[in-house]
Amino acid sequence: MQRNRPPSSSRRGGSPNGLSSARPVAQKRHVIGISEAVVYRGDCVLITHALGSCIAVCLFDRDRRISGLLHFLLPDSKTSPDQAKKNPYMFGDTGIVYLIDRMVRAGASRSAIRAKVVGGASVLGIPIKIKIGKRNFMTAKKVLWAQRIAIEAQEVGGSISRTVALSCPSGTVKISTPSIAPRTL
Amino acid sequence: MPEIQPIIKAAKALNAPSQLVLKGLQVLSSPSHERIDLVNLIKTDPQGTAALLKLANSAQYNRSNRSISTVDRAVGFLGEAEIMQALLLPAIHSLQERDLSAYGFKEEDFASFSHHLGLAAQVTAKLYGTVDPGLAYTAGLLADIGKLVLASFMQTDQPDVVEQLGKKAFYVLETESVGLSHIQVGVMLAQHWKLPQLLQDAIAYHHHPSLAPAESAELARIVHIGDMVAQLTSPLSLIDTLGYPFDTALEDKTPTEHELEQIIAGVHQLLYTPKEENT
Repeated sequence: MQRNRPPSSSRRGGSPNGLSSARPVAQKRHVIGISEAVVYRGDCVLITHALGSCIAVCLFDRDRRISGLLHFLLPDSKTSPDQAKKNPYMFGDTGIVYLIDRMVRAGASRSAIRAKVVGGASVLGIPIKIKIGKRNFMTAKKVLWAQRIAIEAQEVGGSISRTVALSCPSGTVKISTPSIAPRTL
Repeated sequence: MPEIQPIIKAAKALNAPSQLVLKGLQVLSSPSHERIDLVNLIKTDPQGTAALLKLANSAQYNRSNRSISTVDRAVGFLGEAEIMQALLLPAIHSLQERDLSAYGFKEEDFASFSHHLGLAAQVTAKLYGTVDPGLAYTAGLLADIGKLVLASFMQTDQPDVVEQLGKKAFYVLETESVGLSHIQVGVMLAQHWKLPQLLQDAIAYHHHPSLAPAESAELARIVHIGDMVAQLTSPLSLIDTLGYPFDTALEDKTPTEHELEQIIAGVHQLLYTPKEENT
């Protein structure tokens, strides 16, 4: 697993997929925090908690068994170029590009990468001029489109907090919210 | 109509913060206070001194590894918001030693969320320059204090509550469910502990700053914006997250999108980036 490495230092991440065993083996689980990204090769579950206006970008190349998850906070790195320089994963415009680059360096095929996108919520009755969740989602959509990566599924908007679990490398995404039935993308 | 007397009784039974903390809040709420007033107060208390030195020497604030051993030096090193953090956060930690699972809080979550809210209010205050950032941090830290009491009475797994999550403001669901909201209980606690009027008002109006008295309206607005930022970006998955209507009566005092993003970035820096020594 690689966590928040810049593309230049990208290396093969994750553990090799073991041979099948008589007993079921629990999948490895990795938790990704705010403004973090992880690239993983093989079987695992990547989890990120409590997405409010933030976005989780779940990427996966099923054939090459390489997956990645980014939890970004803000849409545009121009908001704080200094912080973007230190941590590009804080912003959608820089974080998604870095994540894709890392996956490709780890062996993924750019044309085979698919995406699922979750988050971008708002507080109830938010004034029309505050659209941070929507802006985050629009940035994810725009950057993925520019990178020619298709969004297979999404659950965005509304006024609920979402925790995401990406099963790798199948790309199945489970979403949970307190007191609401879990969903699968 | 739900029975509210047990809630009032529980609020009165909740231990008040230490005299040092209460005196610190009085000093901070006085418009004419100076930093030396806080220094002199902290010097009178060994526990307060220890908490302040611990914070000043933590990796977050002191990356040079040069030991800071006096209150004067620590206070020069930290801002007023950090001084109040050193005094108040331990008090909040000791108060959260109860079952708060009705709100989805686990272990340290209440203090973590309150700290996040406080920092967001602090950054907002700095951005607008209208309120002392230390006072804004403190008001944010205390804004949800009523939940400490209400958690024992709320049954958030009840179908009538679950059905309305994400549709109604959570403080409305509190009132419908147990007869009082965390805002009202927070004000009870603030009055019981004799907190300064400014802080009582910040707790009372942090969801409706447009209704606050003129002298506390700006502080209430700053805490309101801080609460929204914490709701949007906290890494905690709580039952009432985002069940938070913005006070649309604020109209032109609503932050712009650019301001909101600046605040979110500023809070992230405070929470996740170690500071360089600035002495």
